[in-house]
Amino acid sequence: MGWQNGKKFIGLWAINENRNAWVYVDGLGWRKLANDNDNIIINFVTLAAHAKGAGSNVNFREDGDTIKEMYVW
Amino acid sequence: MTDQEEIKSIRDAIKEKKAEWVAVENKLTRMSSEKRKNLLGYLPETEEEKAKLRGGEEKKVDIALGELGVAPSSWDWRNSRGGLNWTTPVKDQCNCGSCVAFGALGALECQLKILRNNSIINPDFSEAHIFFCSNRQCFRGDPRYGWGSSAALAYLRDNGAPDEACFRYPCPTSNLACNTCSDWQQRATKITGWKDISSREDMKSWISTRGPLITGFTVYDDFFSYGGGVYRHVWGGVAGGHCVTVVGYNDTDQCWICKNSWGVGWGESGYFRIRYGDSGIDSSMSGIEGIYKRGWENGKRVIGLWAINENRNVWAYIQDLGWRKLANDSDNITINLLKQLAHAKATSRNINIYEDGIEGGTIYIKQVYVW
Repeated sequence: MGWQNGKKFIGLWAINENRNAWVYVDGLGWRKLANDNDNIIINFVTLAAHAKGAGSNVNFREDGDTIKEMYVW
Repeated sequence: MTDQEEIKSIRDAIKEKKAEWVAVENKLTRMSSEKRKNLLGYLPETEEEKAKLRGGEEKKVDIALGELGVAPSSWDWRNSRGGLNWTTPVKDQCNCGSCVAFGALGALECQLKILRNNSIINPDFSEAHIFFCSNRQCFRGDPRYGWGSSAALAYLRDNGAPDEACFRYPCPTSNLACNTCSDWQQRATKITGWKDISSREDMKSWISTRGPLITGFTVYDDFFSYGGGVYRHVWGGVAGGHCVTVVGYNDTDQCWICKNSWGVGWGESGYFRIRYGDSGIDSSMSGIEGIYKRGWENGKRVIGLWAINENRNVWAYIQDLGWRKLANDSDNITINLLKQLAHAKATSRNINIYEDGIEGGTIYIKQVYVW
């Protein structure tokens, strides 16, 4: 729980289940993307895919194993 | 009476009445009284404003007990919030009764810097545009002479002010047409509205928490010679009405700090201090409530992106602009904008965005081009 700063996303995972997508955070392991509704999870997947593609630094707030808020720089 | 004789009379009156300001010779005292009266183009619009121009009687301010102590004892937007200057340079209206345009835009420029929390930028709006394109004119005798502050603020609300380059102020020597740029509407900045304030304590609270105020007051013959100190009327009759921007106050000196539009060579580097209540200066003042941010910003980069587990709540950090919220009228709209902005960020592309919002509040990205 709390903020993780300056992390890289090095993996993405999705499955044919509704609103179920995860990212692999370098040094931390798999984290689930918040999925309260379609829009929220699509927003997070878009940011995560961009961050992985660009090798961006990411600051995120996690609650348990779920990412609830994310900055991509 | 020569201007030297006039200065001597004013100095004698200052001494006799123990006033705390100095009278000096300047370009205005050297003008004929008729010519300098032409600068006083503030037209009263209400009965109260008309009354104060008839005599400028000192206002008897009722201060509610609950209001005392709310505002700090002094404030000066030339030196506040970390010793920074939030005002824009003093201008010169030349021999034209356009003071209301300068008083209003002096407030708008300062308010914009404050709302953007950026004292470095130097917004410069076109006084010529708002004055001449409102069908006002410079010279006494013309039925379109001068302006009222409420009318000027209504123009800023309904039409806005474009930047100075759209219609540069020309130091008019004759009547001028609305010779403005063809795309002024795309370049105009509009206000959301304004508030008229009649309590002195509310004026101080507004200035110290929100920004400058616009006021009209009575100019007496002695005011033209003001060269520094805390002015109060000591000599001469009513010359006319004038409009300025109030940028501060000081309870110790019992005065308002005002930005004038008679050039930096007049007064205290273009500013003056005037005693509370004198010349009707604080009978009423007006403050700009908000400023719209609408229009295109071109050639920018996406620096950062932010999302949270709330519906349609995504923001992008745009070069030179800061955080902007993506339009969220529907899921599809937010997702479309986000995909394009994420692409632009990933590939370091320039974007053009159309913004819509309020300065200091939420500003939405409504359209985006990615090149």
